[in-house]
Amino acid sequence: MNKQETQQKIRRIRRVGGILIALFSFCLLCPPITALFDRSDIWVGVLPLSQFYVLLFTGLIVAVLFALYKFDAKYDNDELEEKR
Amino acid sequence: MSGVVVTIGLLAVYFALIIWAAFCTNTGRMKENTIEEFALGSRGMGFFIVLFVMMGLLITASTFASWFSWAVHEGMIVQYLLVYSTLGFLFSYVFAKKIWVWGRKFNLITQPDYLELRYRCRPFTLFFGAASILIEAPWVVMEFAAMGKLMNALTYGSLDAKVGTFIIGVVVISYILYSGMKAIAVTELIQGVISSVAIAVGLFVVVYRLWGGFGPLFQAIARIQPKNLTISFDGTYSYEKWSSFIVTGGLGIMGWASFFSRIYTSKSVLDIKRVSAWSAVLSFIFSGVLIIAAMGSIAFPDIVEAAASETAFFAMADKALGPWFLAFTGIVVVAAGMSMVSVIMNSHGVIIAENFIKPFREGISSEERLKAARWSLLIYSVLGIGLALLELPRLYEIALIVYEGIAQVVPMLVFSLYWRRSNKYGAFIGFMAGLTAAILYGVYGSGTHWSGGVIGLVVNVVLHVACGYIFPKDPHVDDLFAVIQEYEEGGVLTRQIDSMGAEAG
Repeated sequence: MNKQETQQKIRRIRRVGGILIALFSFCLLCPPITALFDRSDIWVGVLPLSQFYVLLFTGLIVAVLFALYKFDAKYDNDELEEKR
Repeated sequence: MSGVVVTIGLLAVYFALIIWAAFCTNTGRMKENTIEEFALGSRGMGFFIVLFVMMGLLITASTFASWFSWAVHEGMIVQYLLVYSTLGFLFSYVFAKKIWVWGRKFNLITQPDYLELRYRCRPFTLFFGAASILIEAPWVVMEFAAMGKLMNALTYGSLDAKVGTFIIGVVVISYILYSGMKAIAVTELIQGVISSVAIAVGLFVVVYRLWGGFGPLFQAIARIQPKNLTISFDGTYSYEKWSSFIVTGGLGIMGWASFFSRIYTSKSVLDIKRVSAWSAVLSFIFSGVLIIAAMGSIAFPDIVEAAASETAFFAMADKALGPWFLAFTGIVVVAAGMSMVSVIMNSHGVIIAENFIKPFREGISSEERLKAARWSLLIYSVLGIGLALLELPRLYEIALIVYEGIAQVVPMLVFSLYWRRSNKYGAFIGFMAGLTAAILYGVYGSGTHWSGGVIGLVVNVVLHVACGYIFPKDPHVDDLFAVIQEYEEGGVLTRQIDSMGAEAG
């Protein structure tokens, strides 16, 4: 893969990560969506729906952020190798 | 052995360990005796130290005192803490590169230094420095007060809360005055390791010991007080309020002068990204289990009773695993408080020296700047402890008000990083108008359920953008962005740069 293609790939991955994080944040911050999930009479496994909602969307943001970091670290490592 | 002897004994051992680490180890000692070393540990701190310093600013003594007790009474709403800290670390991940690169290239030490570089307006820098100290200072007071209360609870009431505040104050001031960020770094490492083991592992054990697992815990809440399982607390809080807490809190993290300048302590851009990503993971697990355990405590009347005096966390630890675990958790909580106040006090002492004294004393040497920072820090700390000894209202209420103000710093930070037309007029007018709107709305406002902080943010952003189009672009801005572009073209995020532009792999 040449330098330009790598740059394009990086931009694409960051864009997808950014969109996912924005989407999950929106789900946590948009009052009608919060209202929809704020139920203690519906359970998902051992968790009430409201708890499931907070852990799911926050967990997804954390997971995407961590994946972006792993990607940045890998790309950085590859660049260093290339320079050497 | 009685509980008092165990807790006092372990606390004494802990204080001795901290003092030894700060005063007697090579890592804790200053070598260059420069203001840069005092403020930022010479910009070369490793991953674990920066991680614990950053986590320490988020997980505080008040979290264990006020927020824990709040979650006992009102349940799910307190989980905004979990979401906003995740978003806060997300922002630090996204913004780290530009802040770090400009910091290295132009030898920036404080957040007001950054604004001076970007907006080139001395009066605004001074005003902003004063505002950031005034906005953050209540946290120092709150933390000292919280730590005093915790010392009182830990010693089963035998040590007065005010005496507790005083003892902790003396220990913290002594090691920061001695070697600033170097001492903070080494003490943070010890505090971080103890906290990770005692709390992260201990809390899971507590949940299984007291409730028999997470399932029975939630079942217990549903049986006793089901409204604690709803974010709105049965209509007490609007969903707009929930979103407001998260928005102002999450954005507010980047507004903290003390958090912002920690980015400069890191070795490289990749290191700060790594810290942000790991902090998000750890705070998600840690805050999640902590708040869930607090919510479950509604099942125990003695813990609920302790929540009235904000000592529910200790009542839970004692009930679950006895005095030894109580003592360990006590150390963790005191450590969390010490960690936060030490970073803020250090940061504010340096802001006073660098942004209020240095510009008015031409030719001031690094040694004199360091001396000025130490004196500023001492006076500031004594004032903070003095205020903490007074009677204070419920601590989390102060914090929520403070966040409304801190969040107003963020539009100017974000625009300054990404928008070349962002200028000093927009920054000043937006900040002032946002702060005023937040305060006025907080006092008189009603009609929508959004908090004053969010209304202030909207006003702030609108005025900032308007000023960007009304006033011409500052001529120096292109040169600043050229520095970033040059760095980005280099590709490697572990690359080092210095103020002379020299690079090293």
